[in-house]
Amino acid sequence: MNLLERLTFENQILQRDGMTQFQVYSSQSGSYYIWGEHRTNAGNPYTLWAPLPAGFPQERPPLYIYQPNPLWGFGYTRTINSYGVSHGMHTLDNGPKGEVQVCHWRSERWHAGITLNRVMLKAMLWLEAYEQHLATGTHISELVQTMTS
Amino acid sequence: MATQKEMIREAMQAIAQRKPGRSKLVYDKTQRTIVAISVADQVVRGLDISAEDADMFLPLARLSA
Repeated sequence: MNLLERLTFENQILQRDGMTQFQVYSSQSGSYYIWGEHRTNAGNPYTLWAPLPAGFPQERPPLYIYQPNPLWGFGYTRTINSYGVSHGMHTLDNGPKGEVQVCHWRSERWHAGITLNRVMLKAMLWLEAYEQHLATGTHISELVQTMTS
Repeated sequence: MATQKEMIREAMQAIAQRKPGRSKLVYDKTQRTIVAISVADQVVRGLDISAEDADMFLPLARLSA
């Protein structure tokens, strides 16, 4: 399966799973990215952007919150962007325009069999946890760990 | 209007009262968003994030209090 076939397959899976808010697109430069606006359970819109690296699918794609940017944290005293790499927020290095990068998969556990619908699902879960953080101040990692019990 | 401290306390109490296996998060295709459902009343058929997919997030009970 070549890259184009794989990306076509990815779009089919997104369609099948009802994640029609997301789609893989090609840019003029010949690269590919996944893009879409997702609404959380509370109805708030977030634009997600995941540029696919040249090594995809063997290489893990970064996943950014393109909008809102900056993304404010609890109490609007600090942005999520300002955390950078943070276990507490499940975030990695900011994007090219300072976007928040969601840590959706550990690099060492990423493999070519992981499809983008699963990545976007984690992004949606992160957004739900983020909104809990906004309401309570609880770090996302604390929410997630608590939720395992 | 509840203060922030009260909101946090209520949220934490709600989390503490959760029991494992009672509910879980799924992706609802019709609403195109994440919803919490009761395990005993699984009306929504969607992706089950408590499967091995849950890497960084581990198996979840639910997010909303």
